[in-house]
Amino acid sequence: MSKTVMIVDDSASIRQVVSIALKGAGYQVIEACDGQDGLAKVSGQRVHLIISDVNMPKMDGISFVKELKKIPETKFIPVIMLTTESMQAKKQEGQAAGARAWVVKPFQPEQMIAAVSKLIMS
Amino acid sequence: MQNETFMGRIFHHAWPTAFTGLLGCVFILFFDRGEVVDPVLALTVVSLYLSHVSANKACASIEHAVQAERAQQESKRKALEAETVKGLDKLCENVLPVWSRQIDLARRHTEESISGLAKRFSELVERIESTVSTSVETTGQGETSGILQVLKESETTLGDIIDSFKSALNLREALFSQITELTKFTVELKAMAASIRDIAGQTNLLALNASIEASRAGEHGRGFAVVADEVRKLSMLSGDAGRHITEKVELVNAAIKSVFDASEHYSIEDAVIIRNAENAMQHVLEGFQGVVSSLSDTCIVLQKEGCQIKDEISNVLIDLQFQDRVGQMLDHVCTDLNKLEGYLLERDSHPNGYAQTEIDADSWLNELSCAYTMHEQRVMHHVKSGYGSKQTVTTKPTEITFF
Repeated sequence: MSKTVMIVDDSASIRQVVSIALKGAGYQVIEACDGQDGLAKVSGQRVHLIISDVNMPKMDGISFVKELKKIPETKFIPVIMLTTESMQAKKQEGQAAGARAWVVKPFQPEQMIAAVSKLIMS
Repeated sequence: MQNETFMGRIFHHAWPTAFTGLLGCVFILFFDRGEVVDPVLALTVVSLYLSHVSANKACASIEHAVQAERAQQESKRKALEAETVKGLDKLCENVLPVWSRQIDLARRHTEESISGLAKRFSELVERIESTVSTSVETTGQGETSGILQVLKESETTLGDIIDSFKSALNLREALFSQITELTKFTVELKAMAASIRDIAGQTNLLALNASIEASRAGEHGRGFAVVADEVRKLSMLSGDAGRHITEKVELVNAAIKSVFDASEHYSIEDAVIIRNAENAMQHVLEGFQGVVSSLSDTCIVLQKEGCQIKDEISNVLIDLQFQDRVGQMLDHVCTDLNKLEGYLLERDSHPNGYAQTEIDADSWLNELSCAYTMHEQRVMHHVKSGYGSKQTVTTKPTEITFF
C-alpha cells in the first residue's frame, strides 16, 4: 500500500511540481493551500508525511507545525519545511516548532524523494 | 527638540514672576503671625504689582517666541518644498498604487499561467507514462504476454505439428519395412510351390511306371493298375495345386511390390511436403520475428525517447519553481510600494506636513532588507544602481537540513 504525503503551499505551481515528483515515486498526494486548509484536511486521513511552505496566508508554516504537534493524532507525523527562506534563525524556528527537515527552494525531485523516503522509513 | 526649546523659553521668562509671587506669600504668612500687618500688606501689594508687570512681560515674550517658532517652521517647509521636484508628491501618491496594482496583476497572471502550464505538462507526463506502459505490455518485454511471447508460442506449436507429421512418416516407413519382410515369405512360398510341382511330377512318373508294371502282371496286376492310375491323378492334382500356389504367390508379390512402390513414392512426396512446410513455416516465422523484432526495437527506442521526454518535462516543471520565487520578490516590492503610499497619505493628513514626518532612508531600507527570504534578494539589495545592477545571482543547489 502506497504512503500518503500532504503538500501545503499557497503556490499552485509548487504544489503541482511536488505532486508530480511524489506521484512518480509511487506516493499518494493530498494538497492544501495554507496552514488552515492543511489542518482541516489532515484530520480523519492517514497521512504519513507533510511537506509545508513557511510563508503562507491565513496560517504560516511554523504555526501550522505547532498546531499539528498539539493534536495527538498528528503530533508524530514528520514535517518537511519547503521554503525559499534560508536564514539560520528561521531554520531554528522551524526546528523548535517540530519540523524534521528544512528544504530550500528550488529543489531537485530526486533529493526531495530521498528526504521523504528517509523520514517515512524512520 | 523644538518642543523642548519652546518650553525652555517659557520657563526663562516666567520664573521671575513666579519667584516674586512666592516671596510675597512667604511675607504674608510670616508677618501675619507677628501682627505686623500694614507694612506687610503694603509690601505684598507692591510684590503683586511687580509680579503682574513681570507676568505681562513674560506673556509678551512667550507670544514672541511662538511666532518665531512658526516662522522658523514655515521657513523650513518652504525650503523643503523648494528642494522637492514640483508635482513629485502628487505623482507618487497617484502612481504608486498603480504600480502596485500592475505588479500584483502581473504576479497573478504569471502564477495562473505557470499553474496552467504545470498542469498541462503534468498531463503530458501521465500520457507518456501510459503510452510507454502500453507499449511495454504490447511488445511483452520481460513479461509473459505480448507479441514476442505469442510469436514464441506459435513457433513451438508449429514445431509440434511438424514433429507430428515427421512421426507419422516414420510410422509409415516402419509399416513399409514390415511389408518388405512379407515379400521374403512369398519367395519361400514360391519355392515351396515349386517343390510341390516337382514332387507331383515324380509321383506321376512313378504312377506311370506302376501302370506299366501292372499291365505286365496281367490279371494279377489289374488292381494295382487302378491304384497307380489314382496316384497319377493325385500327382496331377498336386502339380496343379503347386502351379496355382505359384500363380497366387506371384500375384501377391506383385501386389506387395505395387503397394511398396506407391508407398515409397508417397513417402518421398510426404517427406518433401513436410520439409517444404517446415521451411515455409520457418520462413514465415522468421519474417514475422523480424517484423516483431523491428517493432520491438522501435518500441524500445520510443520508450527511451518517452522516458527522456518525461524527464525533460519533469526538469521543466522543476524550472517552473521560479514562479514562486518571482512571486515572492514581486510581493515584497508591492508591500514596500504600499508602505510608501501609506506614508505619503499620512504625511499629507498631518497638520505640520514635512516638519513632523521626515523619512529615515537607512531605516526604511533596513526594514525592507529584513523582509527578504531569498539569498538573491539580499545580494541584489546591496548592489548599487548602474553597472552591476543587472548582474545575475546564481541559485544554490538543493539545500536540505535534517533536524
